[in-house]
Amino acid sequence: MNQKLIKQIRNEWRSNVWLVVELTVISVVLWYVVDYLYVTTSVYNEPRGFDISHCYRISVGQLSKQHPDFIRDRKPRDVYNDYEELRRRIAMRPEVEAAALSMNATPYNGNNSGTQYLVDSIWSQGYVICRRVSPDFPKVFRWKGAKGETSARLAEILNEGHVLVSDNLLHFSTENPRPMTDYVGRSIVLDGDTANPVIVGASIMPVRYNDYSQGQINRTVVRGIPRDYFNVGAEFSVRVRENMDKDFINGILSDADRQLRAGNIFITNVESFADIRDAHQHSQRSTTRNMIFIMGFLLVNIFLGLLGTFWFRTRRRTGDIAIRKVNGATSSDIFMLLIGEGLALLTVATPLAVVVDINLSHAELSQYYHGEYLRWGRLLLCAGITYVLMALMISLGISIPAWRAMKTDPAFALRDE
Amino acid sequence: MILEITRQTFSQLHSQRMLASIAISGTALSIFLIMVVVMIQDVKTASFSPESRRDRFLHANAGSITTNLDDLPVSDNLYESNGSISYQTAMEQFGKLKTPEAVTIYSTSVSSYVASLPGRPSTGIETRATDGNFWKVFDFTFISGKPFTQADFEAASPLAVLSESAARRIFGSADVAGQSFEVNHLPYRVSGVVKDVSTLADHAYAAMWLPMTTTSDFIDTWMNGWMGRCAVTILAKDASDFDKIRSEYEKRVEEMNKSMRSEGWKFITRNRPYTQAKDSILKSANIEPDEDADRRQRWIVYLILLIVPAMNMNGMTESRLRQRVEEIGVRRAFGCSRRQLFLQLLWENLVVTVAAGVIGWLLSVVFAYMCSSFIFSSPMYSASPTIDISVLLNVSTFLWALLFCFVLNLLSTGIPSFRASRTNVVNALKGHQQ
Repeated sequence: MNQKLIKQIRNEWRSNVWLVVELTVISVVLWYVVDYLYVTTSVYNEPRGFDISHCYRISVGQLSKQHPDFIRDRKPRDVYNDYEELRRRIAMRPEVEAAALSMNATPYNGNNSGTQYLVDSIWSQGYVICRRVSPDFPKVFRWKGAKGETSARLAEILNEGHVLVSDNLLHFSTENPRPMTDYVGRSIVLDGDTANPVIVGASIMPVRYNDYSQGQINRTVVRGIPRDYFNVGAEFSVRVRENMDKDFINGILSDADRQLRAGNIFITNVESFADIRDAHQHSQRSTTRNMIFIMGFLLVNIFLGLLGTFWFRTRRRTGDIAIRKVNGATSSDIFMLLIGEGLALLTVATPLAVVVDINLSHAELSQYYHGEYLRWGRLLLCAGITYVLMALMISLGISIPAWRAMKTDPAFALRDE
Repeated sequence: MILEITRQTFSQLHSQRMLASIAISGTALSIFLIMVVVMIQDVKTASFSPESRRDRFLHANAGSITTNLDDLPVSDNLYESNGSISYQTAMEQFGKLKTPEAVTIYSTSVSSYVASLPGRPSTGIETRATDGNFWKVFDFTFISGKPFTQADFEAASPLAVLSESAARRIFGSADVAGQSFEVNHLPYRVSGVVKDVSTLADHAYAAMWLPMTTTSDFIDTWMNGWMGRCAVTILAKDASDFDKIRSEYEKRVEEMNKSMRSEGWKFITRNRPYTQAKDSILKSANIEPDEDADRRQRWIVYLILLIVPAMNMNGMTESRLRQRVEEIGVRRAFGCSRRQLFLQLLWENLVVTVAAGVIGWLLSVVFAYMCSSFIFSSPMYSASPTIDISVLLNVSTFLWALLFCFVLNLLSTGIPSFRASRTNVVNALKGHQQ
């Protein structure tokens, strides 16, 4: 059988070389797509560290100077008090479970603030996100402590004036980083302010920047709100009790004019975090969608290419298929021989493609995941998935002409001989 | 001659239906996908109202300031801030440029403002704060009233331009110029109503436009008043003025930096302002868009979409020509030259490719039109984009489709046709191609 297969492949070497080249190119591109989808899906499914179900963002505006109610000479501290007053009134609504104020801290927010730390003589390397939040913030997004602290407990810790840090804070800053749970109760220095060190109240499970983020940007330091410059990136976030989402947005907006104004601040908009997430991650989702399109395109091409080529081959080989049959080959032998020919070509193409894959990974053109581009396990897994997908399409493409070949009637085919 | 070959080609296709459908569907699919990619790129730079003069636009969506006064190598002690600039900065750096036809300063992003008729529930409207020149740079279609002017802007007149659908939401009608309503609890008057704007016009898009002086975007600043909420679009008299405008801008920035030096900061320009094409790939304010990398990436996608089906058809054409080797032999025996034969085979395949290309192109237009919200949706705005079919049907897109057909054809049939045309006559007549 194998000898027959090799001979068969050699006889059509010219068109087979084309097929092998084509399969190699497709295999490389397909591997890239499979690798992309594998990494994206893995990152997407990792724990996010926050929960946005039933959560809303409330946007506010400020009265302009021309407005009759405009209060002049508002000091930064007054502005903070206005925000806090508005937050308190929102929190008192029966459907609201928790309401928080923050600066550039909510999930799926394109804006962010950075910070630098000094922990135990380790200086921070790279970007660490600083979140300034009111105590209820962990309750709104259901953060969890690394030692199992509840979000209510985390709120108490913030209320005591301590900071929260993500458990992975020291990652990327030092080799063999210790978890931050080791530093709970100890003081650290933020932004070079050695005169005012802060105390780590708790280490929390890492809070991701968004569903696709990995690495440095998932490290965070969480502090209370500065009352003297609370204006840049100010946000209200609200968690609504389960089953009370209905009409929440309309309810807030209809009360906005009467009850929900404080100082010069008033409510302009309420959006669910699910909508904010969809808008924020638009480009990542469209890239994923494009990758799936490209994958589909390549697979259809394999199907068409193999279908077309083998359509001719089986037609031209009607004679020798008939002779095989006369000599005792069963229909399924014929079928397997043809499929085997396609799979053999794929098996020749795959190692060539894997060599290219390895080089692409070395050049860091593949996906970044868990700190590296080339991880052998992942490479082999993705190459394996690529092989199986291609093998399926090859079998599908060849099976149609092979089916016709199987049905060849030897007497009819050999009539002319 | 050409008619004859075309007729021959069709009868060939008719006799090999399976193969014809494979070849045509394969080509059509690849042209379809390439055209969708081209269109996604095209809508970023193609001109359509209210951004009809994109070929003459220069944009500065953001500015960058740094404490690195002497361009030292980057270290920890240097700070940088990248983002929207304040109205004052925009005015200082762009507003006083001499070369352009017009310069407009407007809020970088749209934000939700509450609008209502007195005593009625309010609704949130996506609003952009602009100056009066905005209406000179962008060409909106007014269906009622007129825009507010630069004088209205300077006087902080409470005037608003509404989109047709926003006017209907607030008033229940579109012909409402001159009527009063409330914006963020302040009385405003409708100055004009414009046709709805697609989110694809990402600089002009909004549902309501207000004079910036009446909004907080005018006064919301930070970093000593340098940074704020504004973006700038310049309308050049001609694209050939771009370099002149840039150098004039660089000079203004240098001037401004002299006065900022004592405060320890300076502006860096990152080669702003950017053309429409460069601006369309802008991702973040702290990195200059890399047009070359973007182009390279696009060409790799085109290449893959072209090469894979080309190799596919190469194999098929090779097989098909082998079946026709006797016919080729007969033709050669009767005096057909190799060149003639080669060109004829190429032409034959071009007919198939063009036929498939037209199918693929039409499919891509229909698909793009039907699924515009799916493929063109803008990351910046939640509303779905509308797209004018004329943008998709433009000449450049069609020429691209033709070019791709031609390249695809050359790639897929060039080598087999060349080989087939060189077949030895005697062998060919025997039915061998060697």
